Amino acid sequence: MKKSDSKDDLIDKYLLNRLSDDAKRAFENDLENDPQLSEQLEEQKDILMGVQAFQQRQLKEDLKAMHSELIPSQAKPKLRTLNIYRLTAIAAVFAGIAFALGWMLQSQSKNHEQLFADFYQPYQLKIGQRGSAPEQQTADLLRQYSDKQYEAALASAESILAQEPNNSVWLLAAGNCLMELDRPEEAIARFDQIINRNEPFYLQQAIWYKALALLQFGQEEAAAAQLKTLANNPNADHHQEAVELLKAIQ
Amino acid sequence: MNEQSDDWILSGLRSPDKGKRNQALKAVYSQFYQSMTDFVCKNSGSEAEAADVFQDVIIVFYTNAQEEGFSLNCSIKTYLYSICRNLWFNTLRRKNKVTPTDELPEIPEEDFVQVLLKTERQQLIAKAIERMGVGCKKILGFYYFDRFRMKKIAELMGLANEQVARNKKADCLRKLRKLMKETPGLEKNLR
Repeated sequence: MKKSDSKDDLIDKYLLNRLSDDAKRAFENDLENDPQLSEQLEEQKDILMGVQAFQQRQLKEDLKAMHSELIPSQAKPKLRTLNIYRLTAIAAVFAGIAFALGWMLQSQSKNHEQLFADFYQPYQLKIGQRGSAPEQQTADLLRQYSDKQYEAALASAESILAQEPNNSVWLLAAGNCLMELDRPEEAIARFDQIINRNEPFYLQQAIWYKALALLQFGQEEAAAAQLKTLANNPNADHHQEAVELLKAIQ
Repeated sequence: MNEQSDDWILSGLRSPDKGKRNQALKAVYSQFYQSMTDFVCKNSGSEAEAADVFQDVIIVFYTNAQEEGFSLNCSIKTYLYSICRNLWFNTLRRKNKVTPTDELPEIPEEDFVQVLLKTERQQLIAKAIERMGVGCKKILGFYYFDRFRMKKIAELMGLANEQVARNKKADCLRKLRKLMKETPGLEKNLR
């Protein structure tokens, strides 16, 4: 270990409040007499704060994802009840208006479907993407997936996931199969498995497909919350598509 | 989600197990979301602003909870409410909106707000960290943000021992300083 490294360690311990009272007093005494040490302390403090700022940014993204996971599920039933009451009241008085409202709701839902259809492209599984599962199983999955045999591909993906539950590629494949089979709720759970682990290589893919699954499920607000995380990061995968889809939703 | 006790939440937030920390964060989110966002909405905030402030409140709480010797002398709800009030009134002041005088924060703002790091220099360092490899991001995050000891970091990262972890951290700090030197605005006064 270099001398400068042990100096860093000492400064870190001081900043993280891990020095004994005596060691702290001695360090502060050195600080008063050594302007170079004082500069080093400032620099190390900046690094600590910079790491915190970086981690806080990550945490903020996690919390935004958590928001769309936890809050709409509580808020949604309230809104539905309100709509039903409102529709019933209107229907009782003006059947024609209720009919018009029904038509508007239907065309709105067509809108979500249309947006989903416009933006959704299945995740591209590549031949080289495999883990420790038997080669035949992964070959079957790749073939079924590229042939759009999504029922069979889902069964293969599930069987591989039983052996490799945290493999993000197979989770993405399973989620996409579920979306193709019009089972967005289950797809969201698959993408959440990647998001909750904050898996760096596949996190943005998972967020993108979760947003699409939410859109397919008719939860456009929650979808928009997911899309914002990609739209706010110009280097993110699917950044441009997220910006456009977000604009279309809003 | 079942309501969890303050002790359960606090020990979850300080756990080295990522799953437990995540569960604790979820418990905080679902248990306190309504009351905190109600406060913001009743004080001229929109729902979106309330959610945004609430997330910042959790970040402050999480960051403070990792501090050596951190303890609560009130309930989590009271603590979060104090942070929420400080953050929200600070936001209103920035927007030049009047805050009710009887609701002015009793706790010095900097105690809470300083951990939400927004200075340009720190954000530039955060950007430099973004360019580092996954291993360095992890070890620096574990050490400076989660405040784990080297022994725990070695375990979490599958390193042979504490000394290997210490060497890795030192190596990452050297890489970070090099990246900082290459970053406009950060290049001065670096070792």
